[in-house]
Amino acid sequence: MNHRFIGKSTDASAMRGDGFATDLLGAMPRLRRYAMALVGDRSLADDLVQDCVERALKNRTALKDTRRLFGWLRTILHNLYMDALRERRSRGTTVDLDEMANSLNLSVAPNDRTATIDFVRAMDELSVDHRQILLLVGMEGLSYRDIAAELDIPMGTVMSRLARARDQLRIKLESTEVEITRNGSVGTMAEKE
Amino acid sequence: MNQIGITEAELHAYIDGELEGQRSEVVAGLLNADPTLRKRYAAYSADRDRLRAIYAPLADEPLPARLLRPLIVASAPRRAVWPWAAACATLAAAATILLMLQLGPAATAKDALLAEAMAVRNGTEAPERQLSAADTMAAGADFMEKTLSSPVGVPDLGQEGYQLADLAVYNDHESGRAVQLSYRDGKGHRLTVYLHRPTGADRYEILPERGGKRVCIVENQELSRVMIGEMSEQQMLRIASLSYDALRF
Repeated sequence: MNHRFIGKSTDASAMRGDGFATDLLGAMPRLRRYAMALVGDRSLADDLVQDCVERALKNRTALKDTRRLFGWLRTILHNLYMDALRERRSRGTTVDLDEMANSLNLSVAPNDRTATIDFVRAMDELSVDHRQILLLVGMEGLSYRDIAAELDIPMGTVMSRLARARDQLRIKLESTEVEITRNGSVGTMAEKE
Repeated sequence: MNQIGITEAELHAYIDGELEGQRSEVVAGLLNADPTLRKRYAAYSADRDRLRAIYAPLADEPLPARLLRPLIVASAPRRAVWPWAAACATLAAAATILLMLQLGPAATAKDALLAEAMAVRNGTEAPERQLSAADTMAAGADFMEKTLSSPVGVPDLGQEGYQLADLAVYNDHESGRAVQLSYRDGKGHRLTVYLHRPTGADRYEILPERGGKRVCIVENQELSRVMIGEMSEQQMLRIASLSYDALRF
């Protein structure tokens, strides 16, 4: 049998058993969601996730408890984001927030679309720390204790940071709602309620 | 501490179900008694719910191929085996995730390449030429290369119990020649490998099982490959691994 013509058999076991890669893959849809929500820019989020995965694979032995995989990935991603922010600030690059807001709008009812855009913009105006804690609680559903462990801060700091973040978000949303009312397009939150 | 005796942090902890015992009862009592506090509570809760509603669907999006490549590259134990295999293993898990999210079938329904491969497999398309396994061997090493303009061979899948049954050549005036390799195992199960000139796509996918069939698609700038068989995901992965060398993934 011609060896070139007929592909030789190879050891199929070589492809099996990489549990870390499989776990990593399982975490990626959520990690990417977290990145997109934190960053507000799909392209930058994908860059960060890609770098995060590469770094996680390179430093896989540093993760002692695989149950902490997702938190570990988020921490890596967050550090990468802070690096990227510093670099972007120095270069004056801005994020494509409208693209993100518009794509998020595809999954909401038409009458909620303005509110979605306003919400995404308000989130983007918050500090990274505030966005992070709002996402960890509101989107990731982490307990305060888990957040304290992941961010390596006291529980009391988690609680006070969260309170300030929600307050800041509400202020920004209310100012947007007032602005919209002033322009005569949509009612205020008070009117809606 | 606000004027009614609870801290802002306690109000938010109550919203998140993190406040326990007596303090939780205090907050509940104050919410009943104070419309202003109740309004703030409602607004914060609504913001929390809206955040989840807006961002949650992002996890349902298919992963871009470029995010999977680091996994494929880094998890490769040996260059000779892994690219098909790891890509398929990786995407098998991705497909599982998509299946769980019920996104897979819709995403692939309009896939022209898959439709073409299925039509060929089902005999809807008549081959220009058909060779038995023996004739295929006799045709020699250059036959596949000449037909597809790509230096590929016929995978030996004997290790998985599949023997080549026949080879069929299809001629599409627009896309050029395509080849289907048909294999059978001892129980009569059929595996087809459809090889098509590159469509321009760059993807690796194992689709969720549909109608008892498992599909693995690997496309790059050299060739498009569609493997279809009635088998488990694991077996498809092993077959993809065995095919890697011959199909020059």
